[in-house]
Amino acid sequence: MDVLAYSVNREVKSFGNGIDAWSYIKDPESADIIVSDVDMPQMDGLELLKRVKSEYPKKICILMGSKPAHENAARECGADAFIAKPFDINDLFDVVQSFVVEVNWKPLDPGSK
Amino acid sequence: MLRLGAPAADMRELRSEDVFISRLKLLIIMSLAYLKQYPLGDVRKKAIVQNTNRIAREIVDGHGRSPNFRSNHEMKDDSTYNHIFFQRVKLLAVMAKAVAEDHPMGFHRLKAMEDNLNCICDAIRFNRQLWEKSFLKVA
Repeated sequence: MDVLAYSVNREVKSFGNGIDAWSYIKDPESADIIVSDVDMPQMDGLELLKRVKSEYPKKICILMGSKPAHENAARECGADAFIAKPFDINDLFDVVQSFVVEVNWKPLDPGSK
Repeated sequence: MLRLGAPAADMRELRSEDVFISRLKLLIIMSLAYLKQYPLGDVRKKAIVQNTNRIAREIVDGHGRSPNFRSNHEMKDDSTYNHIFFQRVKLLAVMAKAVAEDHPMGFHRLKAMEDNLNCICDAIRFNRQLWEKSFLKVA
């Protein structure tokens, strides 16, 4: 989380389970990019991904997982990126580079997430 | 779908040393970015403080070392140097936190920070190109 906050230079919200994350994401103005582990309590990352892509297909969803099956499931559910564990800090920077720096991103307010 | 991280055959859960190395690399990047005078706003300062607190805590809780961590010098069975390496990491954490908390940094402190960084990077074979990322230039 510190890696993302530092590199994106924007506030990064974190949640301990999928339900809390979904409650926050339901606000269309809440977040543009969602990063989630596949293994999450109460609601796993795949279910969260399905809900986000169903309701807000423009939001970018990045999943992290520790098993090859997670990668296949993430692809089928429409993830924009998959980070296989264990990963290097450079992989997180590449995510930022791909989805924040290099895309045609609208200028963000300092208070945006 | 963009695919990053470990190859499928090497996938596993993150271990404590994976997290420690990532946090250490982040600390090095934060410090180098400061020395190169990249922009440093409130969000980045907060991230620096959180990262340095975690690193310092892990070193203290691990009695001066992260479990299973192997620096180049430790692989040579140089336990004394290994101890010094972790003290250097701890010192760098203190230096970076001081930067984030806007404590005064003169020539000698900057030089000490740079020397400390060089010693740490030599020990962990850190890829110096890693921190040359364009996002660092974003205020």
